[in-house]
Amino acid sequence: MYGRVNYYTSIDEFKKIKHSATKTHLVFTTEKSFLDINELNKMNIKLIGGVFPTIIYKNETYSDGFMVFELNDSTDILFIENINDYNIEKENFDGVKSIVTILNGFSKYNSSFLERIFEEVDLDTNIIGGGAGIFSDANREVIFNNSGLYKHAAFLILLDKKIDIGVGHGWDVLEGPFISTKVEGKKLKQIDYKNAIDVYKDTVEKYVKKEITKENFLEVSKDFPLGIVKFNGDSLVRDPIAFTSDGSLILAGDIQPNSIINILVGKKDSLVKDACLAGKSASKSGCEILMMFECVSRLDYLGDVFEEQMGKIVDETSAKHIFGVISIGEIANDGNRYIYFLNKSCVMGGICR
Amino acid sequence: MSLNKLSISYRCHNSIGNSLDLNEMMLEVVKTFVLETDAVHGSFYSLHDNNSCKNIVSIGKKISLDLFLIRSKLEEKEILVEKYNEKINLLIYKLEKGCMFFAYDLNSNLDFIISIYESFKNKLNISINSCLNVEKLRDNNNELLEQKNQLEKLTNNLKDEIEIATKLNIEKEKQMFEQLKMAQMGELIGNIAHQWRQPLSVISTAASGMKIKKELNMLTDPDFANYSQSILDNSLYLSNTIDEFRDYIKESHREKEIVIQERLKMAINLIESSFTLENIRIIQGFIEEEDIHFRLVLGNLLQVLISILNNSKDALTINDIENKWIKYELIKKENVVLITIEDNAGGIEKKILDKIFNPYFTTKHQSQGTGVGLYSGYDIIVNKLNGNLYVKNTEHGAKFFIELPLNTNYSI
Repeated sequence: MYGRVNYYTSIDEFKKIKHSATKTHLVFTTEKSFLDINELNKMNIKLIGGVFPTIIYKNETYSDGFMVFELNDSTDILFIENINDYNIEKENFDGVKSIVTILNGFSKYNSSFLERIFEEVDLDTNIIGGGAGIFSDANREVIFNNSGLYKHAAFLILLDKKIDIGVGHGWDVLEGPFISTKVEGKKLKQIDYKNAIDVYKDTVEKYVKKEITKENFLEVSKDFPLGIVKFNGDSLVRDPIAFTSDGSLILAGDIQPNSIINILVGKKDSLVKDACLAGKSASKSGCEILMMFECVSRLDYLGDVFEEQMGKIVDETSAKHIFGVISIGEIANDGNRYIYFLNKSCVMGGICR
Repeated sequence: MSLNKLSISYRCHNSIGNSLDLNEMMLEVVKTFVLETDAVHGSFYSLHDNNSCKNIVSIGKKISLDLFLIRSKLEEKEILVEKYNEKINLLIYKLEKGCMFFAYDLNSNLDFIISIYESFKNKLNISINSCLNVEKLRDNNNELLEQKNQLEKLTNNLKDEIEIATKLNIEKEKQMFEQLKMAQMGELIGNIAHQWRQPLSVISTAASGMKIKKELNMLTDPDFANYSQSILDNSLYLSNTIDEFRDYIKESHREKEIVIQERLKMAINLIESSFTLENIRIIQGFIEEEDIHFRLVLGNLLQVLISILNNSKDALTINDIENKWIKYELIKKENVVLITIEDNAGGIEKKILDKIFNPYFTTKHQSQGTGVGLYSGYDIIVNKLNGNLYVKNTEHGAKFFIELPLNTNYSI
């Protein structure tokens, strides 16, 4: 992803500057900003973008405004209007070393789409990215181009250079192990043969010392994600985002039946520590710019500490600036393991010129 | 064993045997193994009786495999670890009916993964065999269904073909009957011509006699009456002959009440001249005196009688018999009328006695016989008149028996 990057507080400010009509403009905006595609189209420029909870521009977070990358002509982009019905040939990825993938974080087709991309690209192609989305309205169209906004859409930025990737989450085990005894896609119906919500509530309520209700569920659950136990000893973190009247937990990502799971708990220090480790991995080649895809619930949990985290990453790595988004789900794959749509993680990528 | 290893082992074991569909079952097994062990590729190839391999499942990165080389290596080992490239190791498991491939990062702990495989190998083999057995049963079932469908199709085709052939046969038979009738008509016309000569000569002589006697003023009233009567009698005879012939040739399904003795006499009249020409004596045997009435389609009974009479004539001629004769009789029994026609042509060979009423059976040269005459006669007597037609050899020759049931309302 090479080119100029700027931040504008509004469309009007964005319009004041003369922009190239031939170059593609990658626009990251926020749910609080007023996105008017028709107004942007008056600028007669090529547009692709997404709506996120927050954007990160030069190490700082912005809950409104527009971060615009003016991409070089040599950068290839694939825009997919419907990730459940598309045709991508392997030839599209010839010579591609890294792919930045932006999709709707709430789309139910995310995992299958990522698996398909993973299958088509070469063994040594890295994939990094995150999910756009508005947390208060999962059904909103959040991926756009000059033609309009799309719901189950994605765009892939194809790069001919390697991006170094670092991933971290920092969540610790609160209680477990449990077994996901009944599962349906993103719906965890039973844990240890009991209603999933009952097991979750029993565990978490003891810790927070208050009753979990429909009203306070998100506020409490963001601090207590589920961790699917993985081969390398790590956990694949899954965010519980709701529960249903039949006692199921709705997760922000797939889970397989009979998985061993733990209920996790966060400590701000360990979250920051893991983010720094991710930053170090991403900047191992000495890059000065890092891209960041940080889960929205981590930002909520860290609060003011998030700014400290950014500072620590800059201090402890070669990076001078961090650009990125606060995302609904994260994507990171260096070709050494299978691809997953991650939750509650901090994904960092380093591009060296 | 640590929790994560226990978890992986548990998940892998639980993914086996959840379906009896091989593709579905192996998709779950391979995908679980890939996800749980962080592989970048997983696939399963089934091995078939004809020694061929078929890719059933493939997940993750595309890996090109030299199956021939791998199979030769697997003959000695059940588990192979091969370096695929600078990043990837290939782990290959041999199964009873196939093999599984997984690709891992070079730094992955393959010892643990292999130990998991070892623990579920037997269960996996049993499950694969179960799927293949079900597949085989399903194939057999499909094959049977296919055969059944083909058989039904063939039966339907056969039915259609039989229907077409039957129609063709009926048409052909109709044509043959027409030909037979035409041939018989030609012969009868010859007979009629012969029969007409004498009365025509009588008429001509009477007319000439009257004319000469008138010119010589010798024609008396009694002469005129005699000549005129002779002309009238002979004209009536000629007219009757025409009626008989017309009845025979008329295409009609109209029923008419007839007297059976008259039809027999008519048949004899029609063939008499040709028999005289061949020096065949026609002997009238016992003829029932009392008139026997029937309702018949005109022509049918005549056709049968003429066929039998002509058959006898041909036999007598071909066998060059001296003192040739035929004898006919008409006997009324309790429930039937029996008409017999016997000749002295030596009889019919025993081996063909039961075949002479079969269609297209003939002992004559192709140019002389069609094999339809007696078959047609049999069809009329047996099927249309509910009677019986059979033949026996006597000390003189063949004797045909026509039995017509009495007290029956014919619907002919």
